[in-house]
Amino acid sequence: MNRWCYFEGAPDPAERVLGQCTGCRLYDGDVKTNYKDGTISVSTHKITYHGQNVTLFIPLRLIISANSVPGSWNHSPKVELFAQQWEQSLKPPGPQSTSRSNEVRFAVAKKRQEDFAVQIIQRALEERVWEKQARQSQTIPGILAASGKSRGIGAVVKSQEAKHEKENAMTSEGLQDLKKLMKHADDLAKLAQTAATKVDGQDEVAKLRSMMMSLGLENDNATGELGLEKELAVVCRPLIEKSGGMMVMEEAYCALNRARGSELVSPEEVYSAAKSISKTYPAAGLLFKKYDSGIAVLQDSSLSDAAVVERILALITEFPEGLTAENYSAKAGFSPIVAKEHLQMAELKGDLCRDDSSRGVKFFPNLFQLHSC
Amino acid sequence: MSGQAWQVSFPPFYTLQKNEETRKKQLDAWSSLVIEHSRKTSTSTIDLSEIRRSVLFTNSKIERQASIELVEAVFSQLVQKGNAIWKDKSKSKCLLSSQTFSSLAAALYNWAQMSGHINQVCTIFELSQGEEISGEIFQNVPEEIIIIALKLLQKERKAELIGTDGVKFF
Repeated sequence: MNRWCYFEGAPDPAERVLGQCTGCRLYDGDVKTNYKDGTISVSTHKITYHGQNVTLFIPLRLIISANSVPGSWNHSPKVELFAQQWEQSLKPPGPQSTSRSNEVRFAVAKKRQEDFAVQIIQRALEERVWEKQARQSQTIPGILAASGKSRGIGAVVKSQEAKHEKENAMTSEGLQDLKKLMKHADDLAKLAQTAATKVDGQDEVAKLRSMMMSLGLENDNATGELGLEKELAVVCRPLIEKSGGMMVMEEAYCALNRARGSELVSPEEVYSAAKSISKTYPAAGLLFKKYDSGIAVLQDSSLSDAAVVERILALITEFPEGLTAENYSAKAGFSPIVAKEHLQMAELKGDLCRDDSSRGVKFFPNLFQLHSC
Repeated sequence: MSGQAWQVSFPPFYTLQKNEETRKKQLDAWSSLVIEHSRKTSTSTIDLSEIRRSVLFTNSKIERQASIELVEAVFSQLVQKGNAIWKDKSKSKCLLSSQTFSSLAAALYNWAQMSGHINQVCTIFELSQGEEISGEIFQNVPEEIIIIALKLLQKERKAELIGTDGVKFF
């Protein structure tokens, strides 16, 4: 009941009355008051109660929500408002300084009037006309002079709304981008269709190749049919020389695409180019090799198994305590995976034997074989 | 061990080798070491996990002990060669003979023929410790092993075991 205050003075010039109900009675919480048979009027700025010789009001900025409570056989229909407390400094005098409840209730005389009143109040709360007014004329004293910033729950609600609006804007912007993308996709689809129709003829392969080039899938004519093989040779040759004569396919793939920078090629393409490189492009002097363990390498074609074994046997004399894959990898410059493969290959050929102890696997010259000769 | 084989101080000797040929040579070396060891210690019944822990399969100098799979492979080879038979289904124990069972069987039958013991009954003890068999390869061979050799002859219908102590040659 302490939300209601005496109204003195003139209404705001920008204020409009939105609706009225007659025969209303105010409540303090659930308890009837003597303010009865008055007229409640809802304006863009406030809710006013005109009694017989008194006028009370609540500014809309204090109202958080409005609900209607339908009547029953012994209760009149009511409007229930949730309202913030008055700001201490702004509160004009009122009939009561305390309240039984944060709800402000008033009863209406006729059925359906409560719904009508709630609708009007809600619309006024949405429009927030009082706020615009306050922003434009911050110096006007009185209730409307409250700073342009809203406070309390109202502020939270407002900031949420603002955020929501911003998100909406962003979403629609994103959809715009998507539309653009779809337009591009359309172009691409058309291109593919023309490609398909053009290919329907003789010389399909050549045509497809030219189409692919126009799509940027093939770099240029100079490399011709052996494009990828040549690239592999150019990119991997120096790396292979540096790393003891071979590299695993994963490294080759990475190196190739790193060199390309853009227009990357798929692992499958690199793999198939490498597989056939010794036949299709022997000038590269490279050989694709797949070890029993499943790892695949690209290696110098002059690097035979026998040469590898010879090198290991020369190296192993430096390791009377046994040669590990790590030792060998460090000495020969191979990656550890390749080093392990080499040692196992030499073992299977009978040139090495293994010592598998708690200290790991070490390789020794195959003395079993040497002693029996 | 005096006159130690070179393999004993070679670390890969204690790891079962992967290359087939290498593995065969390794196991051959182990087999002769095992037989020599059993002759020296006069043990014919061998517990695999026990012998793995013995000095035969362990070299503390180079901190190596034969892997379980290696010991199993060594004795499987001995069984295959006819120098040993499993004493249980789980293959944890075996009976080891320095001569193969078949060569013992042949020597026994040959002796029976040469010494006129065909159609006669001999005791197992006689065949192992008797005066008549001095100089034969089965002299002092444990009775348990003699019985296995005789069982081979029985399969060929050249002998018949009588009870647990006797045999009759045909």
